[in-house]
Amino acid sequence: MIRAWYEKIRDQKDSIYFAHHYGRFFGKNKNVFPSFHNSIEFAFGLGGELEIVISGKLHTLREGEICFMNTREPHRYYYNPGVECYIVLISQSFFTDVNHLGEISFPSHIEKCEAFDSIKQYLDYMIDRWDPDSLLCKRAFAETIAYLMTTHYPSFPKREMEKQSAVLLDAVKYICEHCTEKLTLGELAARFGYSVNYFSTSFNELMGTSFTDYLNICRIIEYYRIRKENPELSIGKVAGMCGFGSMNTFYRAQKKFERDGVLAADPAQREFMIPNFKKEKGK
Amino acid sequence: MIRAWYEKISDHKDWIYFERREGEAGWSVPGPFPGFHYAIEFAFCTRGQIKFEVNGTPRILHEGEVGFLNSLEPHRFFYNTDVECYIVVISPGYFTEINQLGNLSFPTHNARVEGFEYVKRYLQYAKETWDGDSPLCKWAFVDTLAHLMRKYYEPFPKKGMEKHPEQMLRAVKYIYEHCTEKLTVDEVAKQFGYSPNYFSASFNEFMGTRFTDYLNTCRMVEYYRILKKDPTIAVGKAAQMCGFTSMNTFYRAQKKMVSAKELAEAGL
Repeated sequence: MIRAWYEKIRDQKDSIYFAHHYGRFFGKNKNVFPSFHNSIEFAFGLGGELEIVISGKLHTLREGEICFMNTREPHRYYYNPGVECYIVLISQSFFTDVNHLGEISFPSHIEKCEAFDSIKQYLDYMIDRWDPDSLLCKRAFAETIAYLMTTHYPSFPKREMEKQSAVLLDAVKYICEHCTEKLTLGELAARFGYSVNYFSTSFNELMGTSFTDYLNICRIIEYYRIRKENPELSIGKVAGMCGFGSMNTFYRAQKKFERDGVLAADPAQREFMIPNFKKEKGK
Repeated sequence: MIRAWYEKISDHKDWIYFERREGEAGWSVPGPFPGFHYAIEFAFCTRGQIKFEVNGTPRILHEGEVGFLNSLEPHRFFYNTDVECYIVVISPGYFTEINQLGNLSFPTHNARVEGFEYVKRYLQYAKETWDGDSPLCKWAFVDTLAHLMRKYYEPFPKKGMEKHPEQMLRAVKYIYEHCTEKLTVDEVAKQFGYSPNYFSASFNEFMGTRFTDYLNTCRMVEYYRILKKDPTIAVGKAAQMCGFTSMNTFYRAQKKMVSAKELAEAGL
């Protein structure tokens, strides 16, 4: 089963996420959906044990080790108390012919080696001088990370994904990006070249949730994002903007997801959350 | 008077010079002239004092200060034994719209600021992890340095040089690059839109030396460069390859330009 949530925010143009995480950051809940994005992601372990599931496989990141998540690899973190790490996400707009970030890949889990101290020294230096508004700063950062990683660690060419998983991830991405429009199962199946029944079954099986629930949660998250940016708009108007055809559907979906614990309890967290579909098929 | 020697090597497409100099006395450019190039240059003084000359004006760079040489500014440094500094030369091949190195300028002499320590820490780190053969390493270095300089110092838009000095520097560059060919004052004057008499007089005034002497210096440097590459080559053949038409001229020039050998060995 590949359960996956497309993190749209990570793939924004010119986006680099670079942060120092420690203690219990957010993902308290082990059932949070894995997410994926086109950006590549590095986790540099500084202390404690960070559990990372990458494409369904569990890795325990310890001090001095590095985890690498390739483009479109579904992954999620579980922060144990006492965990300390640097997280780096580099979006596709920083992949260039000079840094080759678009063509190379690293193992998911990289053992500790001498070079780690040198990279840590650089990250320690940059975290104090990090300027996410400066394109130059981000570009220099992506280049330096690419240089340090390729110099010290073995890299290999990116491999293609299995076709079915790739198509499904494309469909998931499409749903997240077009959720505010009118979207039906039939349309989507046709777009990706499947029959409606087959697509519906595959979706359920691979994602552990139905197409409608998935679409509705995308819309609800969009709803909280728009509400935060435009607090003056009315509920009905915003619900309409998110693609809900009627207020009934909106309230029903909101209530259902609140009851099932799919939505974060804290409304302030809802705009950038990763949903928490607990129910797994066959259980 | 702006006497200047064109440092061709600094303008190579992928050229970045990044060195820490310490404990070695002497001028940065051998011979009687300061050098110039289209590349931009930073000097970070981390210990002692560096004498430097920019556009003919002598200055002193103290610990914690940064010197900046813009494209085409003739300059040279004099290092004492107690000096420690980082010299960075960035060729125009690395100027991009994002780092703005082609459009921004810094003051020639930048006083000590708080950010100097951070820049110094980065330079130390970059020197330890430096790989001059890696294009990625060089790009990462240029962009990081540009970012730090813009963050801690005050850049301003580059102004064009006065037209006349710029034309003269272009002519100097032209002579240097075409010295192995047959070259006359008339031709070069025509190339840059001057009358031969006016050009000759300007050149003398500007460079403090005659056109023929300058041309012969370029040829002598070329001669030593060829000799270095192929030590077995016949003197007459090498002299001819450098554009000398008679051995008399060659020997006369060799006697006169003692610094040509040093220039060639320094790779300039």
